[in-house]
Amino acid sequence: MINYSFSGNVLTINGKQINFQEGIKNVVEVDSLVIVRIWNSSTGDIQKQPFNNVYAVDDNGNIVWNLKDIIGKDGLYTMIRLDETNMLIAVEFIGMNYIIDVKNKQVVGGRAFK
Amino acid sequence: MGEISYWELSSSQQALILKGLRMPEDVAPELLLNRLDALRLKYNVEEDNYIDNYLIRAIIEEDLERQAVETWKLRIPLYLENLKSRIQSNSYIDFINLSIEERKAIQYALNVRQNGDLDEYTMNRLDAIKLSYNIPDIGGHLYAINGAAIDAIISEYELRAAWESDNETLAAIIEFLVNNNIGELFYSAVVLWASSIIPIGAAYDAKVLQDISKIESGLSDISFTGKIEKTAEDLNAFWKSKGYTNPPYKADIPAYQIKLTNNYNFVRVYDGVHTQEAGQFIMKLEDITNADGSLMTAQQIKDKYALEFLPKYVADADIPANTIINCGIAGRIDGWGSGGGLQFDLNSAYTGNFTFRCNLPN
Repeated sequence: MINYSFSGNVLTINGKQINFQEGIKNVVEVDSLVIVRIWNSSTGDIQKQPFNNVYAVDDNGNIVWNLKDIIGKDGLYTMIRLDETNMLIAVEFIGMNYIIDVKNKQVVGGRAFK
Repeated sequence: MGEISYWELSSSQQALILKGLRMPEDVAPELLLNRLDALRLKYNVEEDNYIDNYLIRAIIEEDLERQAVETWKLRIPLYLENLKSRIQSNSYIDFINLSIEERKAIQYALNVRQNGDLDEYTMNRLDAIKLSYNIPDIGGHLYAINGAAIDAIISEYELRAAWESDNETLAAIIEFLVNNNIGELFYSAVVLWASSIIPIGAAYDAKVLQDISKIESGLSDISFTGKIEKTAEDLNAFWKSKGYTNPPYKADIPAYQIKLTNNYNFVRVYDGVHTQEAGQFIMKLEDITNADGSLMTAQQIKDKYALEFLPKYVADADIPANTIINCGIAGRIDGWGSGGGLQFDLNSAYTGNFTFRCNLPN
């Protein structure tokens, strides 16, 4: 269990503050990492949203990866959540729901939905 | 003529035999020998390993039989027209007194197995023809073919020929079932089942026109340029490459790609779990609205757009001018929904302004 909180653009983790370029939209905790999705909530305009907007932060407050490192290409993520097996699900704007094994930093599946 | 081993024949003679047997020139020797043995058995040719005049005759007969089968459909209308002219001078002829080809031609027209027998299926169909064309019985000749009957049979033939021309695949399936003695009841059941799933013949044409009209009507209030006709298969292949495991567009009807010349306010439905407020697939608000102005239920929309998950929310999707979008009819996906809704997609572009509109009624 990591001690963290977030407000606006700032994630506070074990007392250390990390500033993101946009507001933090949602956060999940898995495998000793806090996974952060940022989003420009002032607009629904997709072209004003930050690409590659999912980061993993360790309990020392270090950004250890961006989701692009795992997926292998640019993406705009409209949701992140954990499934019942504690896999990270990242929903991309084109429709893909990537299933990610955070521990091994691997995409283990995925499917697109309309 | 004596006998000679196949292997002693010249290459042109071997080629001729293979042609007669409809076998490729590079056929494996054991397949060829098996085929020759089968012919010897069928035509009572003495069992040995040589080619003799009896075996040659069997090959010729076999080839002629195949040619007769291949040209059979072309000859059917000739047999029927010939029968019609014969009947005009004879007033009627009992079915069992017709030639085998005439009987088979009638059976083809009546859509029953073409065995030439006055079997129960043929009798039933002849009875049905008399009933549906109001043809009175001829005393003592229940299955006689008179002028009215042959006219009705020719009409049935023309209907079947036209149907087969429009439905080549289904016709080929039926022919396979018939030729393999699978039985009229079974294939009738198959056709009945298929016609309950997919529109066939004129019903199919009408449905396609209806779908095209739905697309045209849906585009009528959208300003666009550069309309390109695509196939649903093109779009489905495109979305498959993006991870969509089931084809989003209904196959066998046109789909279109257009470039918006003005902004257009579409909507999008989503469940907030698998699908989100912002996404690629959108529709017009009017297409998820009932005649009284209320929104359709989530279940109705799920069915109309063949969605895997029940949507919970509606988002406004303002798509800017110059965006290239695709449109077509949502395809049926078993277990998800029957489809049929007019559907648009953003052709994988990262664009649009998406905002929450409302919850969907259950």
